Amino acid sequence: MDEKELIIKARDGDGDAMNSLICSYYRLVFAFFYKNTGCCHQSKDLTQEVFIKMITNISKYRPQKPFENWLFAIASNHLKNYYRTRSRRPEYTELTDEYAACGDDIENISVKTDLQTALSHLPQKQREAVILRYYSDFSISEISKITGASETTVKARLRYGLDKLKKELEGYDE
Amino acid sequence: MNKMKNTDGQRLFEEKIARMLKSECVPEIEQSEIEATCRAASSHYVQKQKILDAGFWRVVVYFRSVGDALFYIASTFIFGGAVSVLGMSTSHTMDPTALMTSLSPVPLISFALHELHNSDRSTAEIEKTCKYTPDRICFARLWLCIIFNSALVLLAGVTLFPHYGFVVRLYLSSFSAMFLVGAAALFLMSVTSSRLPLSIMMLIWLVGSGFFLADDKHTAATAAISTWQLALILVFSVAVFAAVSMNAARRLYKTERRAA
Amino acid sequence: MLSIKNVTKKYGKFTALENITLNFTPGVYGLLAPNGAGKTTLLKMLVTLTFPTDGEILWNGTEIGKLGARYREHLGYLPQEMGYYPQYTPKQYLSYMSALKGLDRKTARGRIPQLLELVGLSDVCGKKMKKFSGGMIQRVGIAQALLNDPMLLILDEPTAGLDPKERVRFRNILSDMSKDKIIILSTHIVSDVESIANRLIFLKDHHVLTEETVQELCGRLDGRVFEASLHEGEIEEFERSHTVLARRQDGDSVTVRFTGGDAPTDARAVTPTLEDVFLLSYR
Repeated sequence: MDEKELIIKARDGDGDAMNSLICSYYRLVFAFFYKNTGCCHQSKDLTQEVFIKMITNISKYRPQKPFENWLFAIASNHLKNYYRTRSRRPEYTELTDEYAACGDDIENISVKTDLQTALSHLPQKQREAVILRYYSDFSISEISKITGASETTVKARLRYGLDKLKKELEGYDE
Repeated sequence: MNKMKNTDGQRLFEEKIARMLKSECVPEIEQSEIEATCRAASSHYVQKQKILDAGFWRVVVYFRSVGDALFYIASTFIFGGAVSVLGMSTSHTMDPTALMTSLSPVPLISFALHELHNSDRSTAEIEKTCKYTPDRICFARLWLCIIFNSALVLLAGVTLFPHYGFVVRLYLSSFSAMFLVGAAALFLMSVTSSRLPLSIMMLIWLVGSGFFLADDKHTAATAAISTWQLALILVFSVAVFAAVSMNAARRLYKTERRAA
Repeated sequence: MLSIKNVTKKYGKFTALENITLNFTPGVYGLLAPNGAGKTTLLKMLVTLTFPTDGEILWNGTEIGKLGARYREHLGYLPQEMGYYPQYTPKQYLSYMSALKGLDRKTARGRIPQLLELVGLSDVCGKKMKKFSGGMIQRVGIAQALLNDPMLLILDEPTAGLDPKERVRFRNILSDMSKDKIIILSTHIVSDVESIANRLIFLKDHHVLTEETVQELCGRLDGRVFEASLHEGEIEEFERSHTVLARRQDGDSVTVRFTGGDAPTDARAVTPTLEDVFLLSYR
């Protein structure tokens, strides 16, 4: 069954079709959150919440748009809300622009790579733009629709994000 | 030249970032995690109600026991057999209209008896919490029975009395009896837990209507009713049947209605 | 996911339940109360067999009466009296129930043997249920409740008729699946829920008396439950000044478990159990 048929069935409430969609996209969405937050445990929670949102809003999906873009728009919005909620909590103030403190996940206690460290120093929106562009391979126009920002803003975020990464990783200015 | 170098440099750095991002491992996700997400999300599935839900109709025609299948076979034989024997007997004096009017409600009354027998309250409690509830199934079966009963009446009329001059009156009268007596049977089915009242009703109707309509004086009196009047009686019968049938299944299974 | 908001149920002038407010998320909930307290009425409202006179019950924010079949799809229910078709084998019965629950044939064919294995009835799956004991019928009932892999499992006195070994097996089954299901277990056998319930709901006088974890409930009686050995003749006097929770014959003397009043010098403090809380709440 191709994806279009799956989506139509999912919109009609076919449980198996919904599950197939979740299985197809789970790892992509999880990777998006993991690259953004650096926390495995938190990323799993966020991923699950996104798929719940996907199911409750599936009747709003317009088949003319690529499904993956629509799903990532939900994920991007959810990430934004996540950061906003965390910034409201006093105990997380110092972590607003940092990777989440994961606590018990053993894999997150390992040493961060240079890239992960560099990414963690970027502002949230620049980090998200970089990940959507260079990890998830979305175009500027797609990122603009996913994040709700104009193409100019997306280009600017990418430019500043890359500049900062270059400074940290290669240690010089252009 | 410098600008080109910068652009190339930029492009190379972008490629480098993409390579680095993609080469870094993302923690492996076990299938059980994905399945847990599917399960958590499944409680939010809202399935549209489908009229042509194959699953529902499969249950409607499902035979819970050999008795279920026998019901349809028996009804066909009782009705068809009686009509054939009486209709084709050379010594009979019964008017075909009277004969068909008398016998037409038999399958419906049998249905009511059969549903009453099957509405075992102890199993109904669990069944009422399933996706397809017994009152919905009974209601659907009722309408299948109407179609089945109507088909029997039509078939009997066409095959046994092909040259009968008053075929319109035959059908108007038969269907009126089917709906009116059927409504009475459904009403009894929904208000009593015993099969006795229904059985008595069937007996009284068959014997009573048979004798009443076999009598020439009565046949003459009923012949005086015009075709239009018979048509009105049919419309009235259908309305009564519809009104009774709407609630019969729900009452049979004592299904509570949600307050609006 | 499941919310009960200010629910009242009246039958004419009689109030079965009044102003019940509860919220459920995945886990095991024990609903404890003596008979007549309204347990079965509450469960019947949750499975849409009856509807509240006032208030509402919501599933993911939508009223369950409005959802109808869409809510019942996620439901598994085992009533106190399990009705069944005596001429059916468990396999036939589960096949029939799976059709009523809207499962397709392929899924049902896969699940039925698994469930029969789970409840220990694989070797009798081809025998007619009229030959089954009460405990075996109950196990078929548990299997049918699990057929559609429900998100919400409601069990009314599910261990009635089960022997101790079967009760342990049943507790293990529930424990394994409680991670992503809401399981509401109504019982008056405290030991059924003590080890597996995340939270306990006590009903008294048609209201919710309390809703807490086992530790919180027992913690309330910490240091207040004692055991002492008495002679037969001393018990009546003792009961006048203490709340006796249980008595046990120990040779010539009687060991009493009690709370309240002055503890005799030879009394020893014991760890309060859920049974103690239950007995005290419904004195």
